[in-house]
Amino acid sequence: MNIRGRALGCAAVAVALLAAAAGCGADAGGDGEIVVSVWDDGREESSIDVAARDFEKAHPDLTVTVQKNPFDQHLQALRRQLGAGRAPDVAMTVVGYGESGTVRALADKGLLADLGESPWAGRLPDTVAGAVGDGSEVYAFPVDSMAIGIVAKKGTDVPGTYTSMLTACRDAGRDGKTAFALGGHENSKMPHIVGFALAASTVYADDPGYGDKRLRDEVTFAGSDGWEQAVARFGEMRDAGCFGENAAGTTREATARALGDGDALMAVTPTVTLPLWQAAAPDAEFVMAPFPGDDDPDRVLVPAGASSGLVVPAKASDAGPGKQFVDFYAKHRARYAEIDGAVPALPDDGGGPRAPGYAAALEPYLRDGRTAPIMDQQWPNPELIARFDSGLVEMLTGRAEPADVLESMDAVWTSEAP
Amino acid sequence: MKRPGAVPWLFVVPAAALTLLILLVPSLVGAAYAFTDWDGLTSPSWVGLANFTEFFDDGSHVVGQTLILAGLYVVGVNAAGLGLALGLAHTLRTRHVLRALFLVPAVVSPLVVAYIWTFILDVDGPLNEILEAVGLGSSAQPWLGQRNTALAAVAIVMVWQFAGYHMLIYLAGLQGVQRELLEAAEVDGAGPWRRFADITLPLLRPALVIGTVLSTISAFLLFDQVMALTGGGPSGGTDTLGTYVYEQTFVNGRYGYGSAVALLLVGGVCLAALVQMRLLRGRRS
Amino acid sequence: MNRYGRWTAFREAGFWIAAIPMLLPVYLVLTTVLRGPEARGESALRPPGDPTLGNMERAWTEAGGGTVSFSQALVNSVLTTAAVVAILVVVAAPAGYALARRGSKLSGAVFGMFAFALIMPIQLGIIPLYGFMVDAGLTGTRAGLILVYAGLQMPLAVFLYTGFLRGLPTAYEEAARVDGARPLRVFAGVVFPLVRPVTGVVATLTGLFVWNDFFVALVFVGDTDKVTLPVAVYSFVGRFAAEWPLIFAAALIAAGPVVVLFGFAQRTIMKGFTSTLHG
Repeated sequence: MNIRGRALGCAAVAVALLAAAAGCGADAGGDGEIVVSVWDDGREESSIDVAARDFEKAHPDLTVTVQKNPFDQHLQALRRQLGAGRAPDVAMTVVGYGESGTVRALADKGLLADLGESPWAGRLPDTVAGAVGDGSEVYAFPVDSMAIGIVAKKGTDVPGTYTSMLTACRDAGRDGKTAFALGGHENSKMPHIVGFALAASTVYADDPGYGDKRLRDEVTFAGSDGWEQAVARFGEMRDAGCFGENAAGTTREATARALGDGDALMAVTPTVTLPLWQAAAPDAEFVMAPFPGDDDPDRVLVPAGASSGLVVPAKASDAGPGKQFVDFYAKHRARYAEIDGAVPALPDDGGGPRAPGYAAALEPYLRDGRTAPIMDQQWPNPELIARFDSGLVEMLTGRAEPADVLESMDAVWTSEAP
Repeated sequence: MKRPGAVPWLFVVPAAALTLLILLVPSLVGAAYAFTDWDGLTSPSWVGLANFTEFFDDGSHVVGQTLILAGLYVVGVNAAGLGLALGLAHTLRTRHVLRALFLVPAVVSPLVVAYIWTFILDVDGPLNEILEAVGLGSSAQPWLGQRNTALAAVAIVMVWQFAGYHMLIYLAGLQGVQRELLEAAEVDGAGPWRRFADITLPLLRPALVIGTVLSTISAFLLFDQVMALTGGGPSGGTDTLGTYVYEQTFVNGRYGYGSAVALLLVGGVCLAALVQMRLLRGRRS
Repeated sequence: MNRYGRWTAFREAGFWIAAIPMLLPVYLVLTTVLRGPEARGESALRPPGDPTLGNMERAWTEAGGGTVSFSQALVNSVLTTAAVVAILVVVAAPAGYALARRGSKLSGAVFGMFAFALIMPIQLGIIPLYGFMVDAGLTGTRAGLILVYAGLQMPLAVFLYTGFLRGLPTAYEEAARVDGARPLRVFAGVVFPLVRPVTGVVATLTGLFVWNDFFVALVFVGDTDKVTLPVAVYSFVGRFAAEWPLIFAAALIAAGPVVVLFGFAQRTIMKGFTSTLHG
């Protein structure tokens, strides 16, 4: 055979080999190995690592491999793995909708195993059930919870009503400080948090079921008086100087520095972000308080709900080991929550605290059910949160009106994940 | 007619195979998805040209921004590169050290460069600090929070990073400009600008072609720096085709739509590159 | 024109002044990295009063939480880059030779294929490619990552080699062939040494790409211990906070070897560029 023939022969063999390999899709993990994919929360030993070791001790014939992705990229990596047939046995993800790769987005596409038979599935509170399933089925074990409120250094005078908040903003401005540190930079993803805090006391005070109605396309944002009022109030806060002058170009880190240095007095943020503020001022003590979205204390609601969850991808092979691990984790959740310093989303029957220690002021609201949902958990199209952030930033720079913001959100609304 | 000893096709096979396998075939598959609504997870369904019409309706502002950035960058980086090359070609005693200094940013990862500059351009960052220190405090502003300054910032950061690289290209090009020609012209009484315009510039043509085409391709595909510096903001004001494709494909999970825009991107780059080569090659062969 | 007069000295000083804004960011990186946590609130413009290598140490050993340490990432980067460059040189040089010497329409078309591949944006094909790699069992492996990088940079390498070889006079090859040498011998013995400048350029450009690339490494080995330096740097951009001193320390570790290498090899690289350009 001449050189050319040999070359073609080699190429043919190579192609054949590749085609044969292509025939068998390899799922991550095999017999006896459970792969758990989580995001990197910056700690060497998270509760999942501990749980992995405990599980191995309890089941000597199984090994647990924990794979960590950078936080920002985790959902994307999970989607890639699911799409290519390399799904892990268990994965951490975000509950509800809101981004691509969250529990409900994946469940809608039939990619998650049904966990409804699990021992913990029966005691899901209503506020959580819709985020980890569609109300009747259960697809995720809710791990952490979060609530949105005001963070400030201990001893700061946090306003108790909406009007007094506006006054406090003006006073702060006169003193050369900013009342609320706000990161308007596109990568900071902060403006919508303020929007949620405002909407909780306008939209959901009147209509707790608004989110479900929106999912059924029965209402719109632009047509909702509550949303109109919430976004208008954002404008009022801007006019009172609550956010300072340069909020639009401020990054998340600069926000933390401003709060740490005392150039800003408060920030509107979810409870889980405390490490960010603490990192900028390690010696200061921070506390959280409810955001006064209204003057009428009965209308003030705290956006709260589960944040993260463990899911078991529905694969061709057995979902059994994955479910085993999730149930094991659920059984010992109280201990693992302590390791994480987090509040479990499934409260113990004994009625442990619903809010972390530094957010004790939020406890009464959470306990009495004076809460609103975390709104983007009911927004299937990821584009929506980007529009909301953009719209609020445009309002900061005076280039948009509330109606514009809400209309741009309606324009990209879908009731299913893309 | 096969000459004995002619270079066999076998020499090309491994390179072609790798390129096809890793780059071209997957790109072709990706291009096919442009006509579907694929989400990367479930079976795609055909949507014909719907993705393209959607882009023309919703996303066309991105094209304009890409062109603006491309224009700023291509002009900036080539002017800077040429200037540096002209200045550091001969004579100066420390020219080798200077050349190395200007090249340092080019060897650093674009991600890192963007982080450094985000830090510098932050509202409480060193740039605003310097401005306040020299009494220009009123000019201190949220550089990354306003569309115009953000666009300019991205362009400046990219020029900063790659000016040295283009300096290399033009230095190489200048080697082909024979000293004798320039000296003869000087003797003939031609001033420095005449010498530059009539002799140097035409002989730099190959380098100019390479410089502009490379920078154009980079500008159109621009992704890393924009993503890290502005995230495409404020309010999508610095979104480029590169970041738009990334966001739609990976963040929103709309692979079909993202592939359609990526196809448009490829087309745009091709067109721009061809146009430039034609313009710059000119009538000379 | 070669006289070093007053005007020239002026110019020299001018360029040094121009170099200041070029290097100011580097200065800021250094001050941030060398600043200990107690001096946190200080302006970045001020040199740290009490410089410390603590951040560098932490970056070296820790990385951010779950990702591998920097020492490991450095090893990964070195291995991956070296392997990719080696493959590219060994595979692209002969290809360039064949395309340059065979003047047929087919070789023109094949060259066109490589030229077209040069402008493919990576986002178009990366998901299908990821799918192929999963099926082949190559995701999460260094071999798979090396293969991907080699494929991605192949068009550039072939393009450079072909361009240069087209302009290379064939006298030496003809002589060798007349002597009866087979094509492989001609290539290895005569042609390859002659294209050394291009090899330098290819190694520089592609090596730099692989060393600094973030996205491909993230996609194919992101959650394993084979990650390269840029991914490790990214790991410090955490869920809540960007720890700038650590990120910059990591950046220094990642950029350090390249800058040093570059300092030494600068003149050779430039000569390579010149020859390639005129080829």
